Amino acid sequence: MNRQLPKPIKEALARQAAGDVHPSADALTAFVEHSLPQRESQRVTEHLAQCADCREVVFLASNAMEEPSGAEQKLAAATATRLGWRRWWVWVPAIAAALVIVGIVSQPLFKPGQPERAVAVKGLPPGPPNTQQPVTAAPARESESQPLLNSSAKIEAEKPTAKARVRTKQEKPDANLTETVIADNIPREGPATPTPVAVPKSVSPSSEALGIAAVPVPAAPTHNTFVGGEGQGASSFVAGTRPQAMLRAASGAHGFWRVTSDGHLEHATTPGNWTPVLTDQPATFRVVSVVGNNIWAGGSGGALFHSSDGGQNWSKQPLAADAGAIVSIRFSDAEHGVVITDGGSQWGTSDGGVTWTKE
Amino acid sequence: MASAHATGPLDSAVSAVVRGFAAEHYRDSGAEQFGIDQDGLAEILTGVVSQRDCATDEPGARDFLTSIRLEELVLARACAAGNDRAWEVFLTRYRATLYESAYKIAREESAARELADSLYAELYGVSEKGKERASKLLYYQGRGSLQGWLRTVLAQEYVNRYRITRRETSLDNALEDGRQFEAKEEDVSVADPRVESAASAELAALEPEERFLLAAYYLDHRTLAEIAKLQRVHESTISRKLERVTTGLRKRIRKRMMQAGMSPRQADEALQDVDVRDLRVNVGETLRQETPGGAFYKSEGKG
Repeated sequence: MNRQLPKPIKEALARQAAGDVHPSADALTAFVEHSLPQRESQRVTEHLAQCADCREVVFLASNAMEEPSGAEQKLAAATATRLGWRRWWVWVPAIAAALVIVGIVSQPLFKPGQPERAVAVKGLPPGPPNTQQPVTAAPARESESQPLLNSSAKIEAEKPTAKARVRTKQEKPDANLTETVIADNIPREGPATPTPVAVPKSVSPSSEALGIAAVPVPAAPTHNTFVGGEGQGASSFVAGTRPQAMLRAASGAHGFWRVTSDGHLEHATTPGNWTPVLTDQPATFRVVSVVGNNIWAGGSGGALFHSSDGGQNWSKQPLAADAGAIVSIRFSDAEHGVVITDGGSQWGTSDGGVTWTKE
Repeated sequence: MASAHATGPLDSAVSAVVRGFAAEHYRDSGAEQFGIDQDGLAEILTGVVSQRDCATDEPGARDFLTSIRLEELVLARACAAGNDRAWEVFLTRYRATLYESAYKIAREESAARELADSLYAELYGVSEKGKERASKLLYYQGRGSLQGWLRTVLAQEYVNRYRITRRETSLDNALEDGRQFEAKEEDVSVADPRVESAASAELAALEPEERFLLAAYYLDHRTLAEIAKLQRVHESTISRKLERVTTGLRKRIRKRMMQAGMSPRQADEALQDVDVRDLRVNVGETLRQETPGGAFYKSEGKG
């Protein structure tokens, strides 16, 4: 950026004199740490605009602060990138509506006697119109869940299909690309048998947003929160206030992963064939995240497990036992990530989980 | 130079708030391990609150008390009182980071060590002849972290020392360069009062944050990254803000100059980025905002 400022402006800027009264070290510290009330922060800013000495002090103090960890920096960058996409969110409802309309017009999905949910599964091309069969969802369960869906939910239920169709039109996803699998319209009674719906990152820049929109909506409102998906292919899905109606799932090159409603971690190489994983662990799992070959699963008592080979071998991560239940796992790449517990504490790693630091 | 402190007596309602807060948070504050009882904690808090605007405002006092770093404030006051256990905790927590911060500020090992050592002496309150021992930690009021406060105090000390050294060095260099008899150059540019007036008026109309950005970037030559770190935003945000502020400022100053009777050409010329008439002006000297002498500690009030 050009450092030149017209001399008259520079001189006028420099003529501003702050006077002899300076903010205390206490106030300057609070200013640097952003803990001053707004009114007082304004006063300090006003002073800083006029006082070269105090400006130098706050910049020296700020520069001497610990650098944010690599994970934080990457996550901040990823967040900044994501924020940039927010301006496109205004188009998301219109695009979603258009996809739904196209889906309804060109390929009716809800036929009498068929399950209401048409599903695209990773690696499988979509079937021809009117012949597409659900791959994993048990029809009986689907019919059980029908009463839970109202008419608007039926329309919403089409979105994953439309979305999945977009993906298959594009091409088979990159093996390194992590997909977020979201399935939520499972019945509240009985064990969860989710249907994965692939939502590739490559579909659109705001695929996370579309992924959320694509979740079929249960009859009663849930409070699910998508908190993952930052950076390249990281994803996690976190339970909301109704764990029974909630599934946390993710997929990667090594298949599909999910946490069942009763807190078990499960893996499927092909959709529907779920196998319990880490069954010898007493933890109740809350969240699973996939970044390439790295699988992260967290749950009660600060339990955090990592596999770097797609789930073949697992290691328990050295988080404090009193860390609380892990409710969010965010990795920007294989090395940098942050986990958040239900108590609000945050732990970060910048070496792929070898060491964790409370932040 | 003095620090800005609002002082005022506590009215009875605020006193009650302070006592209630002390009773409620006594156990969490860690005061007990340093031999400070509940009344002692209330006294510390009274001292802190009495120096704030909220000294007579009950809800304000409550909000202020809940925002302070109570445990660190108690530690600082216990250290200032000479409690051995408190010093043990202080050294364990802050010794290493203090030296690290000093190094980051001074960027030279011996200077950093000297800076940190001298601050230690002040924190411990080494008494001068016949004077009462008073620790600098008494100035800490818990509004930011104790670690952050130590960094700020180090930075203040460094700015005071650095400026003194810089002046001495400049004189030495001037003598070595044989410039001791050099006549001061006159600024031959003829300043149009309309330009000065327009620039001053439009600058004054900016938001404080905008003026701070301009000063930090154009006067202090801080990088976008440094400013962004301080403001906890992305560099691109700072860049966009600066662009917007400078563009708008130029336009408004130009307009004001033309309203004052200057022709568009004269106004444009006055706002040229580089003017040959400026070449003989010692810009660094002209722009210096520093106050003479040490800026800090001169009459800073006790916490």
